[in-house]
Amino acid sequence: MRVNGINIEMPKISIGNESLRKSEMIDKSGNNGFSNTLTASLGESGDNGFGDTLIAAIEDINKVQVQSDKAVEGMLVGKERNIHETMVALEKADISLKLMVAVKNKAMDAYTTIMRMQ
Amino acid sequence: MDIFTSMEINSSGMSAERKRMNLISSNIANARTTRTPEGGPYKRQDAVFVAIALPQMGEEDGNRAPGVGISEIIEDKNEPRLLYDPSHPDANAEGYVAYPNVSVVEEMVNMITATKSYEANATSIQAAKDMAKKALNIAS
Repeated sequence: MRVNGINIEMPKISIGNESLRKSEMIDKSGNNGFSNTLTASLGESGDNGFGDTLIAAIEDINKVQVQSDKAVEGMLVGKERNIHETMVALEKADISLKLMVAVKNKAMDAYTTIMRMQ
Repeated sequence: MDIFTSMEINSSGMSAERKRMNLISSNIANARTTRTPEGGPYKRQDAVFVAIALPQMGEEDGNRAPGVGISEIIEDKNEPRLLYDPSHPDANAEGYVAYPNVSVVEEMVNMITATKSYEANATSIQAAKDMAKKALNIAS
């Protein structure tokens, strides 16, 4: 295009098909898109490293959270007749979330300790 | 078994007690019902508890059945109470009216048992939850 008489070459910006497909998968399904995003961000390492373990753990916890959401929704809609099952699902989600936060804190502490080791 | 299985087991106990409570409520409400759709007076209903295996349990505990379910709802086989009242519309040929074989006092006792059992299961869930939280306190 011409700006002030100078030909400026605009760089071709194209969103790669890979990332578009992955972000599509987030919208369609719950868990699958989640792990695909994680795999994309952690790198396609392929070996059973720390990344895979982390992804598996977070997927489990996400499953529990989704179950708890469904339980609360069921109770509000009136489909679930047992109040205590909803409460137990809520407690499970709470405990697993706290567990994940504790693991994250420990990992961060380890990381900062190592980084401080100048 | 992990800590969540314990909560699931107690949750199944609470479900069974809630269903039993429904039957007790029905018995108390129908204590003087002389007419039912299938004919005759209301028959007292009771639940049969059975030990079931929960679906989430793993292979190691596959043979044990720690959860609770209700296998069937049985009707009491006792004879209905007969009271002499010829003017009642449901009186039979000799003038006797058949009242249900429900003893309200017994149903009240069953109701207290069901309530206490429900509370005991809830306390057990609380205990399992506290155990998990204490374990989480190790790391923080």
